[in-house]
Amino acid sequence: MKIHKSKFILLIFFGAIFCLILVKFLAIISIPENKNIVRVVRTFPTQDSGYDKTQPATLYPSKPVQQKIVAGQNNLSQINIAFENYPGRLDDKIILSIGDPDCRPLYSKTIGYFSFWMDPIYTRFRFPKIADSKDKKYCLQAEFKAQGERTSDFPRISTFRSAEESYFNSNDPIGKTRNNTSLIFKSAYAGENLTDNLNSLLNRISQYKPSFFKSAALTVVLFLSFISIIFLILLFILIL
Amino acid sequence: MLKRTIGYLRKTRTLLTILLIVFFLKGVAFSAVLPMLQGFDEPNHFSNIQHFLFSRLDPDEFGRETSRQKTDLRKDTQNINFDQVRNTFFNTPNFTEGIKGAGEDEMIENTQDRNYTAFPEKYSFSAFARIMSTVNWLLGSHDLLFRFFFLRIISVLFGVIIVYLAFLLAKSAGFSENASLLFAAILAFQPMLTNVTSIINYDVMLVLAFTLFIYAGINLIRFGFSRKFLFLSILAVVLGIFTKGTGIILFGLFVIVFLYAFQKKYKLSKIKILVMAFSFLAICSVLTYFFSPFSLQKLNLFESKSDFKSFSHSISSYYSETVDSFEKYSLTFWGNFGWINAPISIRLLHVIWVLELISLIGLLIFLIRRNNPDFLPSKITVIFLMLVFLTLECGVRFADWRLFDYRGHIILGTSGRYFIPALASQLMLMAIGWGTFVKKESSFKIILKAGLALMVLLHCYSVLSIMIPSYYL
Repeated sequence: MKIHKSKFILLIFFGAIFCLILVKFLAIISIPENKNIVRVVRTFPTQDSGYDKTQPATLYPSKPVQQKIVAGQNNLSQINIAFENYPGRLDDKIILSIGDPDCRPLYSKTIGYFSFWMDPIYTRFRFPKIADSKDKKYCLQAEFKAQGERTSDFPRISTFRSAEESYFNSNDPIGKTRNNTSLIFKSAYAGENLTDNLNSLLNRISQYKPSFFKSAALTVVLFLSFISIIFLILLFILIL
Repeated sequence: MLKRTIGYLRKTRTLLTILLIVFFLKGVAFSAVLPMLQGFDEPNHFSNIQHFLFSRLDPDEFGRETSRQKTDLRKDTQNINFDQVRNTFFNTPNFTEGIKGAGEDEMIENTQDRNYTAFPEKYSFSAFARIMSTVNWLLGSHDLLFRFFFLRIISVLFGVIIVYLAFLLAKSAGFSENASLLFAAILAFQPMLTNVTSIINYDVMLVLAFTLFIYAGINLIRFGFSRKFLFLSILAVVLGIFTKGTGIILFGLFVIVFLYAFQKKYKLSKIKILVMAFSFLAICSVLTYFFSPFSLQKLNLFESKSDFKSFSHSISSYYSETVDSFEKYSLTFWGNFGWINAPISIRLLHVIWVLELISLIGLLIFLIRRNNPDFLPSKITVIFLMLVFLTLECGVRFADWRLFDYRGHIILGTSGRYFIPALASQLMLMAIGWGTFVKKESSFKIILKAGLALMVLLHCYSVLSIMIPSYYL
């Protein structure tokens, strides 16, 4: 069967973007920690009511916000941070770092308005896995870099009330150290290999599901769906 | 052998069957991945369906929700961490190490054969509630998790019918069989349609009613009066009205389509048409009085009472309240899944807007130009599609404004999913707009294929990079 040039280009285009999405997805996969789950109280499940909101941590230019964290497992590889109103302007940049207990950076990442792939909900800060991280203390730091004088549009990190935690904001007019308050973030750990991470994800998806959506059955459903979509697109582009 | 297989695969019926199977599998996978009760208004709808068991109707409890039902639902939602997750953007449920959630055993134990005897009056004539509650009743011996996810799969089946109707609709509009297949496939992968057809929510029935109406309406307009399509359009109107208030829009559209088709065939005088229209409205009013759909009872809010000093004050306040929310609501049309608010990227939305803008330009050219390509539908079909699309747009916004006017603040909002019922119209108008720029059908098919590739990619992106990470990682 002779493949028309336009069909070929379409397939290449589809394949390239599809691989990109897949790679991004596989890069996200990790084993997140069950921490920093904000408790919400409602009288009835469908009623709206917020949790006890705390003031977000404002990031002033070149004044880092820091919080000490203790890793719950080995292979710390990712910290997902809940930013509010970021990115604000085109030339804004934020340097995220994971450092030793004295806040000397071990790994850093700069994020800006033109990030290649912006996560809509929270910002994923990925770094090479730290093999023996369990029970060790680290310093999570976020520093805002802006061009020129700035009086508004500061990025902010969401916070919540947490009895045992505190964060440090060197430029906060109310107080540099905020006790009993934590930045909203979630640490995540890499499994030994990709299969470990995928298994962990499948286990999570299996929870609160009936037998036909659990474990092996779930894998079959997801796999069939995935394969059938690829088959359909190939068929429709090539045959129609 | 290969030639024979390809020959078999080329058949429209085979390709359509494959499309419907893929849609079903995709929907089932989506319903498996979306956490329990996280669909829009899902706890309410599921709760209603649970106690909607007409076989054990207790006349004393007719029309009331039991407090037991609320207590039970609250217990279930606590067990699955629902309260911790909804509307918090960042939270995920508190997962355990294995495949069983922390409160799962307790929930299953408590919900085995849980039946309620009250019958919610407001859903007396709702086809969605009737069908779903019957399935729920048939599954009475299974636990809540089993029943809940099985009901989601039934929703997917409604979705299969919608995709099938989209194919028929495109064919009736004047697309070739191949173009119709491509169009149905594009619609099938729209992320919000996938969401609406994979959760327990009566919106799926409303989308079905609208799609059925568009299909019947196109046939009545193009080919004139026919009993089959008259029956189908009436069925769509009844389905829509008894499902949700938005369904009333179909009634208004029906009157227009009916008069057009009738006049086309019988060529009556203006007086006769007026008499007919009034008689028709009178009959409908009487029927409405007796059957009184719950969805229409809300219309009594549309009285003259207003929270504002003047009409202009009300309009200007509404404008200032909603002017900045267009982007937010547009996001919820193209991809925002469940209560945790897992939206697609704003940048992606801007790309979609550009594509829509180009198709709008094409559509204007189509309407102005005398000779359009013959692989595109006729102008009257396009006008009908625009009428459906614009009526829903105006209807939803009018209802939103009227409630705002009555209460002084936004109550309904204009969430993108409220506009999903006219999705078939919208996507077809987009396809026609793009088709205006080419001369050959082969080029049009390339455009549709590119549209399909983009929609499938949007679906994959929304599931793999938005929904799964937001809920589980």
